[in-house]
Amino acid sequence: MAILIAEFVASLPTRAHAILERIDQGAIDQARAMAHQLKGAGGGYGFPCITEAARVIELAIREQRLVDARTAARALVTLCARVVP
Amino acid sequence: MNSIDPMAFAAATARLLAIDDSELIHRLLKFRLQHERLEIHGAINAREGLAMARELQPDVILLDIDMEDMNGFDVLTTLKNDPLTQDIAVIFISGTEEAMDKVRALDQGAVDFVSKPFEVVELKARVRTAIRSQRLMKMLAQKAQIDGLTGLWNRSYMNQRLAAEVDEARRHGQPLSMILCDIDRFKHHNDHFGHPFGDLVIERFAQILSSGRSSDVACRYGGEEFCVILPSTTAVEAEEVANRYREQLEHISWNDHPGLVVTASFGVAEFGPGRDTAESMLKAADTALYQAKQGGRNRVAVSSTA
Repeated sequence: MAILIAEFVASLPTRAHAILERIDQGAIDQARAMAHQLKGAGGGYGFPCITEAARVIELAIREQRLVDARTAARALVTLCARVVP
Repeated sequence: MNSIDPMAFAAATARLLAIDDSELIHRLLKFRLQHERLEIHGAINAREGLAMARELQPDVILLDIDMEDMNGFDVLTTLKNDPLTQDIAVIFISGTEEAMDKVRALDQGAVDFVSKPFEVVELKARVRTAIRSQRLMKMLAQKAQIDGLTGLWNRSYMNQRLAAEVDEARRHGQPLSMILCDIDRFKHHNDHFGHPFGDLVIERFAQILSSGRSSDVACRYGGEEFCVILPSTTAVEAEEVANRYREQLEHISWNDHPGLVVTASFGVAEFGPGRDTAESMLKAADTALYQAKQGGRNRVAVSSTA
């Protein structure tokens, strides 16, 4: 399991940046799908804080609050940089 | 004979299908469940999941609610409306904590609901429980189609199976035959030697009928009457089979009644013009059986072609 978690953690910065990029590019559906995936998986890998941060992004996109979505995505990027296995 | 072995049911490797649009969840599930006796499959969206459910016939499905292409409730409805998938045990696995979602899932026919993030030991226990319940349901359904005395399929199953085999024969142009048989003078044996002996005769005859080829389907049609469905078999071949059964019964030595010879009569019918439905095949076999009885019993009669 340690290997699986390490791989997940290692992938987090890339995933978080990708969500932020998609929002900036206006690829909102892609950003929402990526946030949705992280929301579902974060807790399962032992990081409920990732699930919560991703949930905020997904909800903001669904409600078309794109400024909030971008803020939440930046928060996710910061969070993911801090996460260690 | 169609014995139901609960141990075999329990020991078999179960098939699990996870339907979730997160590849991260699939990796996690595969890893977490790898030591369970499970064959694990994954579908990355609802439509793929529905197709895989039909094809794989899994014992249990782990189903996400919140998916991009179709939500889990609609997937569950589709599964329950399809005869091929309606009996698969479905466990919802979702991040929602809404009580009404859980109630809705269970009301729609899900067997359980696990919240994400899931506790691994809890998830394993719930999967095991779902598989156990699902297998018990299958056993009960199967038992309802088995004759209690002989272990052969009962008349209800025979009707379904014969109709299905007739469809197959029509579609693929394969031969199909059936044998209808009846123990001669059974009432006399029963009255003269007692019901326990009558039951013994029925059981021994059932053993003979179920000792044939694995593709043949032996059923107790009712009382002392039996039926054998023989896929991919011509009337000539079925007549040979029936004669073997007839001789085996005739040569049984009955320990409590030395010298007693118990016999049976047989009617054979093959799928073809005029006998191209389950009902018409059965009628033709019944007419042939009547001819065998009229001809002196302990013989095989084959229905003449229409």
